[in-house]
Amino acid sequence: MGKNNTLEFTGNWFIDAGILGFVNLMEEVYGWDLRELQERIKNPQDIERRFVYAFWYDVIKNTTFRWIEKDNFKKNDLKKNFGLDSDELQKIIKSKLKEFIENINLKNKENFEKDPNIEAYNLIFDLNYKIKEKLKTEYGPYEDILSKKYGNNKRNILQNTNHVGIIAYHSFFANLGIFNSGTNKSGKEKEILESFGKLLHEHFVRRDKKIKNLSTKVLDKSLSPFIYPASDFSNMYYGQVFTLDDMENIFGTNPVYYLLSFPKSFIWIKGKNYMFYTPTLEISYTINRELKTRIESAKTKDGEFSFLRVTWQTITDKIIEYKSQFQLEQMYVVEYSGISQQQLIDVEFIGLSKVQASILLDDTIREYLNREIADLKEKDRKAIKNWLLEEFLKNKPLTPIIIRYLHGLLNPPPSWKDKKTQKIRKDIWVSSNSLIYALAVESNIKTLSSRKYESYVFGDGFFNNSSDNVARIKKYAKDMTIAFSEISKITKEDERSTLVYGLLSAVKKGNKSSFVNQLMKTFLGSSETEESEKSIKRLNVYLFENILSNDISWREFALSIVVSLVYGGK
Amino acid sequence: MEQNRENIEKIYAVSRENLDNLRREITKIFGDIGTEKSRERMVFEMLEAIKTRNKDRFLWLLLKTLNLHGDDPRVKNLINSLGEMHIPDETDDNFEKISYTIVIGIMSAKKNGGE
Repeated sequence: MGKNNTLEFTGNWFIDAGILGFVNLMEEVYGWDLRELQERIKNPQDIERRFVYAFWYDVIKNTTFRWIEKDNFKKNDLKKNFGLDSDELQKIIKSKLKEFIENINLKNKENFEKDPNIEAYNLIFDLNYKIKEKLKTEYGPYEDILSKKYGNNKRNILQNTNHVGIIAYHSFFANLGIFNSGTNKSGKEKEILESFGKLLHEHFVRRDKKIKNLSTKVLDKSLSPFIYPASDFSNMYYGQVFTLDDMENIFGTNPVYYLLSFPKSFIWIKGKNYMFYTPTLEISYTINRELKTRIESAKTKDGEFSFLRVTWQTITDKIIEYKSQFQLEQMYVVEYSGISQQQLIDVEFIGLSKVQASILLDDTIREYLNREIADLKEKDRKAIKNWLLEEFLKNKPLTPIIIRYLHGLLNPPPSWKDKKTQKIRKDIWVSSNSLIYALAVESNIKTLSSRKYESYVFGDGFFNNSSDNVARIKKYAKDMTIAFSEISKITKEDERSTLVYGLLSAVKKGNKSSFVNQLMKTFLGSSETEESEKSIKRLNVYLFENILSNDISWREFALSIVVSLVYGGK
Repeated sequence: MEQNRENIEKIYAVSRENLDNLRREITKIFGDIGTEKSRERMVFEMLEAIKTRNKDRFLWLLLKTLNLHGDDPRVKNLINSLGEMHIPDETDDNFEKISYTIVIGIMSAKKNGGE
């Protein structure tokens, strides 16, 4: 909300992510799209009560579901005494509660529209009370066989329902007073909502006993794990800690709405939270909305693979629709996999370069890179998978990933094998084209970074049309594909398996000479027919042009031959 | 910019262009020398010499064959340019580049006749 009561991005990703989260939250709870919200926001009183309700509704609902999803029952006893399966019972209770909560929400929304004086806080009390009662009814019959999964395994779900004040916990805001498990106790509901009001109106975050002069309005880790705790900011002589008042002065909005909505700007894709940020609200909003619906439908369709495919497909579709490559070049991707002990896990900020943007916009290259390939490294006895496109956007080298993958195909670890047949599982195999394009992309990057003579700020590289990159990658991929098919023509199956180990090891060691030597020896005596003679000629040219006289990216070109030998040229 | 590029190429004693010319020249000449079998035998021995970085052996194998056709002006030219390359004094890296280029050139020669 700018001073003129419109929602717009500020240019600061942190606030903007909050704005996006705010839009998402309001849409989720009230079904308003961006346009409607822009209208609604002109009435600040109404928006405030709406936000208060939406925020708590969202937290209470999610906490309730999280409770239900825990292993609440002693499974064997449930089977013995009631003849019920705990997973099924859990599903039934969840769907009952879902319907129950949604019905209350529906009524509350009507009440908001009808009565402009209705208090959000009353509705929250009511919602919280009703859900507690409902949980008691649902779990009451099983009281004797409930496991203690709450409060350091001291309470079962019923005991916990009686113990806590508001059914509300938020790992992102675990440091914030309102979600403190010490405060959030039965009978203290009013106090919690009061301190929430203080946060909203007075910007009161907390009082720090250690640092005497610290403002109570401090913007620190309490409000987001992305920021340092104020106690770490010890050099007060040099400057004051940033406060919520400062934020309001700079951005002209009440920052609390946005700070509290911040986690809502992230989308959960395959075990990680992602936020795709572009500099305008409209595009960020459309991209995120589209992503959510597409990911939802991918979930029901064919499992994990399509998540990855739809993500960047959606983003590029939207960018193309808005004819704005600039947006992609300004894009940030922020990701983290979770929060533990109030620390973000695996947090990364990815900014896209011009080159990356141009490559993303090319359908062929993006599609081929939009694959996951298995790694030799394992986690929980499952092979870790690397998403090629993501690794590329993070500026990580793809070649080592491919080397490890090829190595795995030659000596598959147990996690790659089908238990029955002991062969490599189908889902492990990635099309050879994906590997070749990854290698082509990698050699393009190496070519670009090797241009020492273009080290001036405005050197050739700066003005280079980004489509050059795409053309170069496709040229490389074409050359690699030719080598890929020619080598399979002149080698027999038994020959391939002996040759491939030596060649892969030469590439791994960076021993160009050994690679060329071994390969050329196989050429000897292979030119029996005119066809194979032509193949050898083409391979000789390839060897000369791309491997022998290429000190920069010979490994990538050499690997495409190894790929062919591993894949049998298919 | 152009100046810089040239400087960089000078640092590398074996430029891409030189190697390319060498390869073409070799292919032309070896099209007329020996049989397919004898070329293959020589290539195999040359590859072994490169593998062990035995520069003398490699040159010996090459010059032995070229010597049989010393009357051919193209061969004379080739021997001259090989002389200018100072192959025995080259670094291992450059030696590998030159020697593999020669081998590739020989292998690219057509079965019975020139390129």
